[in-house]
Amino acid sequence: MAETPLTATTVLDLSQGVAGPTAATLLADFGADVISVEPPGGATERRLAEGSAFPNVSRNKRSIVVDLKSDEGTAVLHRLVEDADALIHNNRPGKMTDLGCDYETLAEINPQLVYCSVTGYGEDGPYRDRPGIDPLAQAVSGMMWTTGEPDRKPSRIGAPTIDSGTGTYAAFSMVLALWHVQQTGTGQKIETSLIDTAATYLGNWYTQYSMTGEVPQRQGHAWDSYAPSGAFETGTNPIYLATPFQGLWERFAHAIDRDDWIDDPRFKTNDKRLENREELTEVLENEFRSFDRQELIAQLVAAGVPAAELQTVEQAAHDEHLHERGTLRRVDDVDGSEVIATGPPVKFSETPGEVEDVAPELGEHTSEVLAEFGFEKSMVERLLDDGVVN
Amino acid sequence: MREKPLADITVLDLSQAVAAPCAGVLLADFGANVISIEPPGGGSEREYGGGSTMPNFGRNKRSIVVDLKTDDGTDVLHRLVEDADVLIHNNRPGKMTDLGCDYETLSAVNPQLVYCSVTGYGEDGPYRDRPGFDPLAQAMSGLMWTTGEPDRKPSRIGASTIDIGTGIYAAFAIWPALRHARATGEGQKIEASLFDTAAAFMGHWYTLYDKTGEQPQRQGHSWELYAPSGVFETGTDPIYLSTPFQHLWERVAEAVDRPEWIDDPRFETGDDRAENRAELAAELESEFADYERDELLDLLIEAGVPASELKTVAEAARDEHLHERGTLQEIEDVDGSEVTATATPVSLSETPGRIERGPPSLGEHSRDVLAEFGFDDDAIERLVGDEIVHDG
Repeated sequence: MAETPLTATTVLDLSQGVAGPTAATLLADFGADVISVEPPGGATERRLAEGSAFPNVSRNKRSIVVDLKSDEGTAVLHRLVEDADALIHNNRPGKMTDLGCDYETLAEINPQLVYCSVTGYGEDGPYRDRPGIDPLAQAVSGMMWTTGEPDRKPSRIGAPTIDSGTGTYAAFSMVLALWHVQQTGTGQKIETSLIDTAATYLGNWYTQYSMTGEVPQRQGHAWDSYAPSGAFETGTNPIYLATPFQGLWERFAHAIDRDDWIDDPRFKTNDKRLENREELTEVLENEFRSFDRQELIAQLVAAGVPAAELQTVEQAAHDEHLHERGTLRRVDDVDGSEVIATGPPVKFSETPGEVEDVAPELGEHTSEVLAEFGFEKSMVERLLDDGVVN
Repeated sequence: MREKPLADITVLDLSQAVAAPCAGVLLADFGANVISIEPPGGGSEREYGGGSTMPNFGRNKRSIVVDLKTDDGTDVLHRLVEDADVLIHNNRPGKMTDLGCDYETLSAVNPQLVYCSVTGYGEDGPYRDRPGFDPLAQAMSGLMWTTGEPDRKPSRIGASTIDIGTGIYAAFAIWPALRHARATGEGQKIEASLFDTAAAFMGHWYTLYDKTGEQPQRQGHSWELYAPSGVFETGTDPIYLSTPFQHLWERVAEAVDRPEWIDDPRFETGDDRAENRAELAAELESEFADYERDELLDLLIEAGVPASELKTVAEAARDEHLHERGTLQEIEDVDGSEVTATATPVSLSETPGRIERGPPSLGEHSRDVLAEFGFDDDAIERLVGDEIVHDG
């Protein structure tokens, strides 16, 4: 096996959805042997959003199917835990106890086990028993309140940023705990939750509110505190532009050869530009209309103005920069078709994340994995016959 | 020595703003000795958002001020690198070379160094020289395109999700690299970028588009695929509600004692409800108007419906759940005042993250740190006298 930092680490991934599977896939990217332990019928992420989540959160995993609702299935899991280093799940508090797979039980089997839960609200506190999903964490944390048009209801964020962030926190914590095991021989239980991640995203808002007493409101595409900022139309497609400092505004005017704006009394200072925001937008979009987007962006970027294409999903999915860096790539889906999916989002010079197998078929590795954990052939056959494993 | 997984790890944090300082703080939470190396005048995060960033990303770090634009300042950094394990920065590609602090130079000083850059677009690819920050990554990745009202321009996400997401990816990545360095004696360079993070958040959309050829559009607060979903007014404050499966819809109807909705031909199937979405929302909000928010949520949550308060930042900042879990805490700011700030967002049973100190004042630890790295009193006096290093 290739020399990777997490080689010799075995992770049992009982998680479903997006957050937990993201954590496991990050560990797999860096060489961990991640075994996705799926229920009969498969984990929910195989079906989520027409199967589009799966190629992004299943890469480098093997799939085995075990029915944990049967006593024998639980016994199989206990046997796997004996020789595993980490386990991750996203069951609601209490459910793992019902399945005979709570931390206390498993830690007795393997005291060095790193056991990580990913839940909506964590395992204590008044909301622990609530159902939790990404948009609810957006709603409870104030993140949704600060997103969208001021005169409309708040907007849901279009991507599962909280799920993905929580998965990354979980991966970070698990590697840390694995290191601790190496040093001390002591495993532990880790708790991550969507609400805690969302709160971290909002940290500076909470602090600002506690400092000023002002309640932040959503601001559409722009920023209330400076102009120009936000989305602007061009002759072709829209761009996003921000000029938080006077110097950037002047650079910007200079870049598109409209130095006259700099001394225009309507736009001279940031306060003036905020006061005359609508007029400014109109003047800008009027000017931008004579540019093709790429041409305008090239001029602004060369001048050091923070600007970028406001891309559709289609445009971003084909973005040459992301493909050149390997953040996006074409991979084989479960059914053998080629699809665009994400690869490791961080780049390492010596031990880069690798993508070997993207989307395992359901139960593809059940027999192989059980054999590796010392199950005898006749035993595997019996478990298969009894439907305990598929 | 503290019994912490990172107790013997020294991190030089040259980063400013939000993304990279977030990586440093996560390492500090778990015991790493994180030294924030600030430019004269202080890192930009001291000013950012009216000073609201430092309490969240400055905790557990010590501050020293070194002027890296001087040769003597560069020498000081090289000396620190000799005994450090990790360095994090967020300078644009090329800038670290200008400062004599690029990976090649520093790895010659310390071959085991783990060197992590956090940039807008990464250090290669066609956009590497562009200025990058969180909303631009939202715009480039399609994340902004999918957020906001369908009949308006797309909306910017109100929180720095990409900055912080990138900081977490960086913190995660530093781990396997450290482990590799300890095992093999070989350091390496890590690159995290805002654009890569935004793309990772958007992965399933790219795949879905690629599979179906359909261009995802923003959907306001709700989901096009099913109803009811989204924001609903009540007699007091709004809630967020989501019913991706038929049985969840039936639970809603039963929880508010309106079982006749279940058989109502307008609302019978998911397709019916999506088709009559506006009528359904009106009906629901008319019913919900009789309830106080918390009373309604009790009923819905009791019934197992995914629902929650739609909170303002003010409400969330005081949320009892977040405070009880310690995710939000009152900490001492640089000026001695108490502010609400986030703490370690993950809980570990044996090696929990901890808050040892609030954000440091600028250059508070310059003298201490130099002494720890073997600078003698004379050298420290000279560096402070020449304003290469500033003390608090």
